[in-house]
Amino acid sequence: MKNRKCSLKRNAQGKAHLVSRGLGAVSIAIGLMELLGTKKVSSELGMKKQRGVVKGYGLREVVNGVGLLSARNPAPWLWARVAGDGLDLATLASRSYNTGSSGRRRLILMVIAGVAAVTALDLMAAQKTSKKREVKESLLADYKKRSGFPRPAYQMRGIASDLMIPGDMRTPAALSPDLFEARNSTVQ
Amino acid sequence: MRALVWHHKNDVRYDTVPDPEIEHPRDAIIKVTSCAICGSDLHLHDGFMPGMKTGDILGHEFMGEVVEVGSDNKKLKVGDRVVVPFTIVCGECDQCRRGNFSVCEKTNRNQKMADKMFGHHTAGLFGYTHLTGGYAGGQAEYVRVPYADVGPVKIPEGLSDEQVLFLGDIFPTGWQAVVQCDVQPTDTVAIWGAGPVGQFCVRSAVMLGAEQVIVIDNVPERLAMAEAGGAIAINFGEENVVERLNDLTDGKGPEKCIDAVGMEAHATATIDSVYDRAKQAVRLETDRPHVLREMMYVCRPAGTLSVPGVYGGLIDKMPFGMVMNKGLTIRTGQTHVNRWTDDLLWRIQEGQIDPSFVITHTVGLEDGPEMYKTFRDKEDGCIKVVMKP
Repeated sequence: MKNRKCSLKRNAQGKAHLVSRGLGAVSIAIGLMELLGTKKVSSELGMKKQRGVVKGYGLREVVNGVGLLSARNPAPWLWARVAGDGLDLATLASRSYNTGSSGRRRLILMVIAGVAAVTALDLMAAQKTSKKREVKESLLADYKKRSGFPRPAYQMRGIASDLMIPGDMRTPAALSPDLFEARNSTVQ
Repeated sequence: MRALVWHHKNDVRYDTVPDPEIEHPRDAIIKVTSCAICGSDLHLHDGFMPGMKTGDILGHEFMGEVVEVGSDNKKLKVGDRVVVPFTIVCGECDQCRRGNFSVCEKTNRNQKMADKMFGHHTAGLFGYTHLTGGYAGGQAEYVRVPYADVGPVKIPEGLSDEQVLFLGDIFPTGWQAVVQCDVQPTDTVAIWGAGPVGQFCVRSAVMLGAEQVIVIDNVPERLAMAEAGGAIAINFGEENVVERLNDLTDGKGPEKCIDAVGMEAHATATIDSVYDRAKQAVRLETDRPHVLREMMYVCRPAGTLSVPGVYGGLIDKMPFGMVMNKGLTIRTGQTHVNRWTDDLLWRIQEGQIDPSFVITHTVGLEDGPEMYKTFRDKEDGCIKVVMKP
């Protein structure tokens, strides 16, 4: 049995977890902006009649952000963000196509560029954190030998059954068939 | 001296701190030769345990050599080699005389604070929040041991640090978890969590004669180590735990269920675990009790639930109707370490078990802050870290 000195480098997955925390904060910020400034955002993007959609997207962002900040495994939340980004891009593209104002189209295209950049970051973090945990075969082989016993485990079964279980830790007689029968036979 | 110091959540540092001094005639100062990171240290590191303050020295698994003793300490002398149990015990109070050392009535210096939190205070613990006395811990070069004429266990020659270090916590903790199940030769013992305490639960259940020992986790190397100790492994990432446990027990469920996980349970995306995550994130629940719920559900009626895993505060959506209607017995508590140390030391000397099997990483104390993260994230096959100051 050999103990290994650990290589103390944090791996890429660890860094991706840090990035996902940042994305969680960004998600909450965007969501709050959409929820609290629905009127302004809808107006800028030419979605005055679709305020409900903007609010819904805002709520989605906040939920996603809380999930990213609280989860030990951020991967499902990051993939949810990627899907949400797709929805955002589709909505923006549709608005850009349908708007008559060149100024608004320019603004929407800038927003699309920003969302696309964040999408790339989301996708990268989602892929990194989704990487399946690899376990070296040599490690498993080593641990499979670590019984702590001098003989095979099945031969160690009951080696400590000489221990007197303290009274306060014994199973109540009523819950133990042998003890229950023994007690009843004593009474009779 | 140098020590591992808690600053904030996820922020443990290797700092220079003042040397400890004798404060009471029963004290001793120990030069630490080996110490370890415990799974319950992670609850402090991750910010789930209330009552931590910046500057607290961590660590409650340690051993070393006595370098100074107080004038009233007749048990120890300079040069003695000792393992120090994580519970600080007076040996005189009503609870200590009953063997309930982890709820010693005298050693917790912050009794009023603990009374408010728990209703009544429990024992003082090393390096473990101000709710348990705020005593400096043993992940340090030196440590002051209060009531050192009661708790410390003298180690005879011929045994290495690695063989005896875990007498201070995880070996007795796994042992007590199984002992308080009162295992019968026909029993199936199911253990949730194949971390260090879970590993000792497996060995203890085998040694105490369980017919079948099952361990539940999702980390392959931990399951491999548990299998080496005689357990049947269930990977909860790949199998349905309840179905498999029922299959292995002719549909009756295990008689004895042990929660060696505690407040930070991870589960694949079950509805209750997502619910716990969300409530914990917004501070409406302190602990994630997925394992407790699963144990209550799957345990055989009239069975026993044993809980060595640490919980800190409030849990939600507990199916207590199952507990009542199935007549389950729940046994829990911090470990009464000194109840078991003499017997377990004897078993180590006899060669029945060598607890060093669980050590996967040995590093210097200066590497401690990084090792907290490695252990927490289960990276590099990490199961148990031992540090040499």
